[in-house]
Amino acid sequence: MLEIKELTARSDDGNDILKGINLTVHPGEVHAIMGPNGSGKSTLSSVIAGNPKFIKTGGSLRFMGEEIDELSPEERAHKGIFLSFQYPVEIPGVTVNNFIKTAINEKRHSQGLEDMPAGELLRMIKEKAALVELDPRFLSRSLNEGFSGGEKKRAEIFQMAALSPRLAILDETDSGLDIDALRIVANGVNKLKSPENATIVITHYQRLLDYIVPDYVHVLYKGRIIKTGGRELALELEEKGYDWLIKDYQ
Amino acid sequence: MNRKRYITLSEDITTIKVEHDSRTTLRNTGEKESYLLLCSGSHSLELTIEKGADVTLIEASDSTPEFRYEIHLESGASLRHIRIDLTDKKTSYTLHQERDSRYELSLISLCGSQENSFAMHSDGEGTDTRMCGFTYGQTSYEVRNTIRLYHHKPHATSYQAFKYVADDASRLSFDGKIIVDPHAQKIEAYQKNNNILLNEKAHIESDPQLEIYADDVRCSHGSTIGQLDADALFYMQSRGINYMTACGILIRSFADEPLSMIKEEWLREQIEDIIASMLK
Repeated sequence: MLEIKELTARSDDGNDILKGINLTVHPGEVHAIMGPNGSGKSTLSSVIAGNPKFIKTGGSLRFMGEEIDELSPEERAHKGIFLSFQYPVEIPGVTVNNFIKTAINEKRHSQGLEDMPAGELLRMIKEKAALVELDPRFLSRSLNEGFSGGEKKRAEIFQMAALSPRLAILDETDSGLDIDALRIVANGVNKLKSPENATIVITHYQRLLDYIVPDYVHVLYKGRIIKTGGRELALELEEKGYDWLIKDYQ
Repeated sequence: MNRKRYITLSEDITTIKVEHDSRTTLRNTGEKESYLLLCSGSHSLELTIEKGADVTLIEASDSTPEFRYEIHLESGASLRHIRIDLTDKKTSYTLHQERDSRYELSLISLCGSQENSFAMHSDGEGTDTRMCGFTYGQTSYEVRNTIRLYHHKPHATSYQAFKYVADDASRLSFDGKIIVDPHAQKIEAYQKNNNILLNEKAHIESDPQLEIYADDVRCSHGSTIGQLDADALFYMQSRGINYMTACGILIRSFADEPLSMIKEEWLREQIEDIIASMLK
């Protein structure tokens, strides 16, 4: 589904951040990307999603068998890539409901379809909100405006549910969440899991991985994946920290 | 693309026609009342809102090249004033507010060049004055808002928020001053002017000022100039929303404060449609 080979990228202020990433994700898999702050985790997710703040300088980035370098962020989204933000943006005056309607219908237009009929859309939105235990009253509030940390993340997973992506990338979804919010968000993600879709969980802590169980754990450090293992790697990192792994790369 | 640049007016609200210099008093009828002001020609209107009355005045005339308002709010009166500018206009507003009265202005400018000058007087204690504006400048239109807001009496509040979006070679300016008299203590007065520049040929001037002669007041003012927030655009694009649609959503969001003051859906939706049609 996702094939990344020797990917290098820099930020728009000229810093080389990714220095040769190799990563392959198949349908049905859950990958966790861990690593200390500043190792390039968020940059990797930004580059996959097409954030113009980062410039790909080398290597290849393929999704569903196709190079996606030249695609805009919205075209990547239409192909099935979803990025959940660490800090979701507040948009006053635009309700969650209208926002998701716009997103769904723009995707349909890209596929040559008409707007989704209003009744069907309403049913789908209600169903997905229930899935992530999002209070329906949130749907008529301005997107993320005045939402708590947990509410913002729940709204992110709600959007993910409504857009049903092939590949969901969750960037530090656990940051700022208490344990109840974490469980609800993780439950939502688990319910959406299927043999056809895949998830990349980017996290600093192993805590989230108690709820979203990864098939693979990758450690990213200084722009490279320095170790890959199974779930037990995350537990080992929890116990021993990163020092034993990164000392050879200092 | 839809190039609509006019407002279709609702037929079921009371109309006031101004075809020469006139004087009108709106009384307390016990109900909240809405009026549509239809003006033609360059005239003046002396408008009195009677004690305790609660009135909404909507104006979207397109044939008033020059117009002068003199508005008098008697004690406890409340006026919501909504004005949509879509043609070239030069307008002066003089407002006098008696004790505990409330004035709220939504000034929306989407087309044409306009020069608005405001002299707002809080003449009684407990008044509240709110002025919110949204201007979307395109081509070579020039819009200038000059505001002098005088707090003559204590225990009053005022709030100004003017949002400008400047595209093409438009020129928008904000010159706002709050003047607090020496004995006008316990005033809360805020003023802000936020600007988005969409084109390097566009021009924005922002000059918020405070002139405070009392010592026990809370006042602030500020202005910002920037571009559309790149992070917000990427956020929306990552959800599959096209770049242009995302720009439109951000502009709508930027205008939310003045637009959300317009409770009349039939009117607000038309304004939103015009804004959406202006994107390019």
